[in-house]
Amino acid sequence: MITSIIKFQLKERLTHWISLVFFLMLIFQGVWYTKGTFDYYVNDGVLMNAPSIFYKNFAGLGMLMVIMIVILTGSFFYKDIQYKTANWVYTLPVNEKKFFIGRYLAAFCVNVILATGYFFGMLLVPYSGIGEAHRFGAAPIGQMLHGMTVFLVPNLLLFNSIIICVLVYTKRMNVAYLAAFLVVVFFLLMQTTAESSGYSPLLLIADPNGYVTISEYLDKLSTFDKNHAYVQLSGYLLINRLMWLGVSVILTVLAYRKFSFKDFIRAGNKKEKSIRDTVSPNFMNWTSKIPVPRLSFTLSDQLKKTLTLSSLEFNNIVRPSSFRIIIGVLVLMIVLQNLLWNAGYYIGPEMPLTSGMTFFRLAWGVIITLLLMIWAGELFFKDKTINIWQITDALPVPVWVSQLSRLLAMCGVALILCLVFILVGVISQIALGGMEQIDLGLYISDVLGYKWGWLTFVLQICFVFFIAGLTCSRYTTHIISVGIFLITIISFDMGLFEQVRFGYPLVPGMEDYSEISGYGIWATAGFWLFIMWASLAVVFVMLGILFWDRGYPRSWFRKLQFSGKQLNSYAKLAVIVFLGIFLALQYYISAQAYSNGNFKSSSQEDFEAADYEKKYKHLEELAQPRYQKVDLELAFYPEERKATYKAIITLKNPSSETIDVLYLNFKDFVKLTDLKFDNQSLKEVSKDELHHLITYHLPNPLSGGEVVTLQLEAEKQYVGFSPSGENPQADLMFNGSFGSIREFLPVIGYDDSRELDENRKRTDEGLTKLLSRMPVLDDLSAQNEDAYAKDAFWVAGKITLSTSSDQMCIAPGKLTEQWKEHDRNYYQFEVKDPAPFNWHIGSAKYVVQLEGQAKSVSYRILGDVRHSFNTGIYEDAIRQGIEYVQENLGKYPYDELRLTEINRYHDARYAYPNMIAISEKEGWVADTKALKEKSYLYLTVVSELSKQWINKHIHIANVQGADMLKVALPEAIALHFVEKSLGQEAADLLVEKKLEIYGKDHNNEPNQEPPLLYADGIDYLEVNKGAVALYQMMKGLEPNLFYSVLKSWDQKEGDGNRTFKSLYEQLLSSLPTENRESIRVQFEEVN
Amino acid sequence: MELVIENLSKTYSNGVRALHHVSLRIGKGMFGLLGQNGAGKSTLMRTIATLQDADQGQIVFNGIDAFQKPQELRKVLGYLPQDFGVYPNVSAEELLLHVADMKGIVHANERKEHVDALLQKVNLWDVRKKRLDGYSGGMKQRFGIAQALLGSPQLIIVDEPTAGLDPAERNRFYNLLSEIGENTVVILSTHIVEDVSTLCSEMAIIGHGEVLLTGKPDLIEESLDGQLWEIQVSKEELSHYYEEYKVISSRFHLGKMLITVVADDIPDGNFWKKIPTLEDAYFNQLSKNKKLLSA
Repeated sequence: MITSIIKFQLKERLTHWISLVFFLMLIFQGVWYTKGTFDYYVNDGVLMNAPSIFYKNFAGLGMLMVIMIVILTGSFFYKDIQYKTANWVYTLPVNEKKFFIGRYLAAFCVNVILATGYFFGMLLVPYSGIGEAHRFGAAPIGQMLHGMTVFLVPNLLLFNSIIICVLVYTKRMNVAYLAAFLVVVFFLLMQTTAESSGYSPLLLIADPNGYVTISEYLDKLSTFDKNHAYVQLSGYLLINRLMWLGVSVILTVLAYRKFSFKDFIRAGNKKEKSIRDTVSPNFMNWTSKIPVPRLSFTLSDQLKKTLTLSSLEFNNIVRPSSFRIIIGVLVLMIVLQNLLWNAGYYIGPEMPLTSGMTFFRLAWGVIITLLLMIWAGELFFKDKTINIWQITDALPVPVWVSQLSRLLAMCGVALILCLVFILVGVISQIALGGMEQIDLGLYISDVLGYKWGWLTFVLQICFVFFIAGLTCSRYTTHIISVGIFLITIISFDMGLFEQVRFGYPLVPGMEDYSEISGYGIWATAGFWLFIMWASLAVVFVMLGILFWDRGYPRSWFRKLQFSGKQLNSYAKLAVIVFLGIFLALQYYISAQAYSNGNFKSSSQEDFEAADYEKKYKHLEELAQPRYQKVDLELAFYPEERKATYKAIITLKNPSSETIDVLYLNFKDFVKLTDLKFDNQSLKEVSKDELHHLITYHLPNPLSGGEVVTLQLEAEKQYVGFSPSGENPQADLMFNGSFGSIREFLPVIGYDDSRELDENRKRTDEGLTKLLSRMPVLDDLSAQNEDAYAKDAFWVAGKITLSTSSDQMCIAPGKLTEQWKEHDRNYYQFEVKDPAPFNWHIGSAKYVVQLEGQAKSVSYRILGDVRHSFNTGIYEDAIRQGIEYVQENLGKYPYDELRLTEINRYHDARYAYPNMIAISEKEGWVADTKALKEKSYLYLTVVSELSKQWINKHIHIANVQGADMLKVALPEAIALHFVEKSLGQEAADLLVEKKLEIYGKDHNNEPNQEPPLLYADGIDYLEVNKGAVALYQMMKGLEPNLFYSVLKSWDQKEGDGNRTFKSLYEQLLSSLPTENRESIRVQFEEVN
Repeated sequence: MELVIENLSKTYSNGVRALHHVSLRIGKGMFGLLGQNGAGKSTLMRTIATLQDADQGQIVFNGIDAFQKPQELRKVLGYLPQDFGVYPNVSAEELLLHVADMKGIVHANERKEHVDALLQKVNLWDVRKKRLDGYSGGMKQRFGIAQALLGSPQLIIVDEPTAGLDPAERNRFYNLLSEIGENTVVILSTHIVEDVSTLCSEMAIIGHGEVLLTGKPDLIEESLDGQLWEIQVSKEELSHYYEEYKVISSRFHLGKMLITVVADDIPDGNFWKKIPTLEDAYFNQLSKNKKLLSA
């Protein structure tokens, strides 16, 4: 009996065309997801068809697979209700429990069989053309089957059980869909929470798919194991799998016990809603007269009708309880997101800022959009679904009225949803004590605007409207519209598309909001892209009306005729006009991207970087002068994103060779207006427009040790906007400009910062792999270069900046003068003593949050007017930090200090003479109630104060280990400060965080992780593992001894550049012998 | 007030010929369109109701060409399809107000008055605030009639309105339809002969997409007077009678099978004369048509 049921179902389902469609979709997903997961592993040793990639794919299931499961599974039971076959099928002499088992297993088997498409898709990856041959190893069939067994099949079983159990109990298909949807939401929550706040036992066990667990497991594997190993079922992985398998079994048993023909046949039966008909059989109301109404069909009537009809359509969506349940779930998620998971700031929660509240729309945007698209599809086909279309289509209402009323109703639903989100955000802010942070303007712009707000939803609804008109099929509309949406999102996520102008209805920079700079350059880009998409949406709506089948479906030939009568000639003209506007804006935006040089694809950037290296690597061998002194006068024009400047640069030939040719590398957008060499014009030998490298012949050769001046006048201005979200052009912004001085002044000689440093990319571009990202320790030439700027000695100079009257300027050096002139603010800074040339300058609408005096140092804290939450902590950190530095290292090198907030587009922190700059994401808006967050703020300030001391005293050689001195050492000093000032627990929390970040990131090492002694400047290493290792060494050595060794090393080494190795050796030799080996292993081996 | 259908033909993409040169002139009053399932009635109704295009032919109502100006025809049309659904989450009153708005009753007061009157007319007044998904089949059908009558249409098409209704509900429908048929053109499409014989002053029989017969029901009945004969037969004899006589129908009465035969004279002494009904005329036409097709 059971076999017979299964056989029949398999035959019926698997021979249906939709099964083939699902199968092909899953093959596509197999290829597509493999590429995405592969890109997650930046290590060039990980194969594209590595088992680790496939394990993750199987655990994740993928959107298309989930859609397939949801559509198919419930129908195995519900189709008898839907097609009313239950009325006779359930009367057959079949044991109802065996019937249940048969249908349950059939549903599961069909899901598993179709899911093999995913397996085949992964097998086909090597032949799909998405990667070069060397990216692939032998197909790991065994591991793939293992992955299917451990993840895919149990996950399918789980969904099968949930959907069927919920269906059997509620007898409602939509509730079963909702249950599956909630499981997906739960899975996404676990995944995103793990990504934002790290793995925890709860997340590892609670993720129903096992995706978080396998991700955590795989992150710890070596590259070799990623490429070859079978996953070991143990620990949390085993617990997770067993637990969810248990849940599946329990749900199955519950459903088995509940299912009976008598009970389930009541599905779809609405007896409980029946209304008693009290009319007597022979009664007819003869007496009533029907008044004859006046009819009117003017255009104004139709417009009014559109609005009034939309209210009924609106009610059709919002009245069902399923709508309220979904809204309730969403609101709950948003509340949790706002209250618990708003870890925008990397170490913990932020203050209840409006930007934090509106962030949920990005985290939940895909789900909300999907919901709205499905609701829209359902509404557009509602008349057909419930079979009232023969009545409504015969009414004297033009198609545009009935269809537009539905469109408006959906826009209304989206609006209500967004207003609820705003309300939830505001309430969350009040609940968190952030009443003053409520920014209604930002709410309106974010949640109701086009940066994945209401207008984005409206555009998506218009797209569904068009597809509905085109296909006139409810399910085809869902599949096409949702499919295109998901493909668009994932394609951008995977980097297949980079320009947002190809991704209806996206705009760039949605995720890059800065409290200081707003949406920066993306505000303009967003506006133009929205106008473009809105034009297309108008076309979609018009064509949706034109193509819509009123009455019985027409042939495609008739339907697609532009001469159709459902639009009048004015409307057709409007279609042409708006299509023209759309195409014109595409051209305009493309021109902004390319003609103005605002966009390069990542492949183009890689190519250019490789090309530069291939062409100019030889320049590294040539002697070139170095910066010795810089006097800069620069005027910011923030409203134009422009700066004009003059610089007098003192150059010195560091070598004994004579230099007669000068190579200057300029940044994009710099226009050189004048260049003189000791007041003599320079002869341009060649100019490489692509790489902005200009070669000059010197009028007088520069002999060894000779000093000359270079007079430079230039202008830099960003024009237009970028259709991609990559480069914020942060050195010149409307507000919050901040950038390296090298954004304006040229790099001399070979600019090795342009080199590709990921070996996978290097190989792709035909370059040799790097053994180290920095020159090796014994590279004598590099030893003579400064680690901050190889084309500069330590530099002194004067910087005069001016900006608009509402902004203030920041720069290295002591502020010697400030004045106002021609409605502009002027500032003069002076770096008297030469310092590493890592200088940055900027301009922003700052306020002086605090001023004071610590020891002999006067300090000033500059920041955004709204960001004074933690100024007290910053001040205390400055005071205590200076004291700590002076106590342990020696005199703090400056008598003036500015601690400045910069926007979130930059690195976390910067330190140079008289200035510390800290990004807004690093603590200005952090919620510092907890010890971890509070101590982190102290750490950041003291680390930068220590860095200033180090940079004043130690010339760091441009060789391996440089970042141990530049980054790890100040960080270790700050850790000790935190321990001393806030207690061991505070330091331990920070150490734990650092090790967690290291543990998470080091497996994504693109090349080969070096031992700390040979650290070569990779983000995750020195600041985390390096700092902790030095801190532990300091504790092993006793801090006093550590500092004593550090200071004596500083004094002993003489004038030459220092390497970390020499410090390390001194520290190691100072350690007790029994401790040396463990420390040696930490620094000299990768463990 | 006249509906003129001329030379209307429709063949579906799967090759099914639904209408073949259909021509009819339908005046004020109830017009019955009788035909078997699949005869093309619903296709014809939908085509008149502007829901479907024809391959050729013309439909004109009071000078309005249904194909050229469907929107104009819809302004005077009331249509009750054979099978229809309702929005489950709204009340009868709400949905009728909605449809009334769509029918061009733009003044809210008039709309309300009109809908109230119709709700009383179809006896849904007491349940007007209830959600439609709780309505019984009969109530839903009454709702259907009410929506078709909204806007006082001049042309009303009702497609199989009594299918699935109990006798009492059917009775109500007869009453209602006869009332509204007094001043409008009402086309009643049905396969139930009694519906036509009870209500219609004019009728047509349609089969395989063609008009087989038109006329007044009583005249059609009378046309067979003296030509119908009935006999009780056993099942074993049935095939013999089919071979020997022009059998137009068979039925059971008190468990015995009776067959009806058309002949100018009494076939033999065992037959007795039968007074013709519209159903006999209908079966006679179907029988003729079947022979024509098989020939």
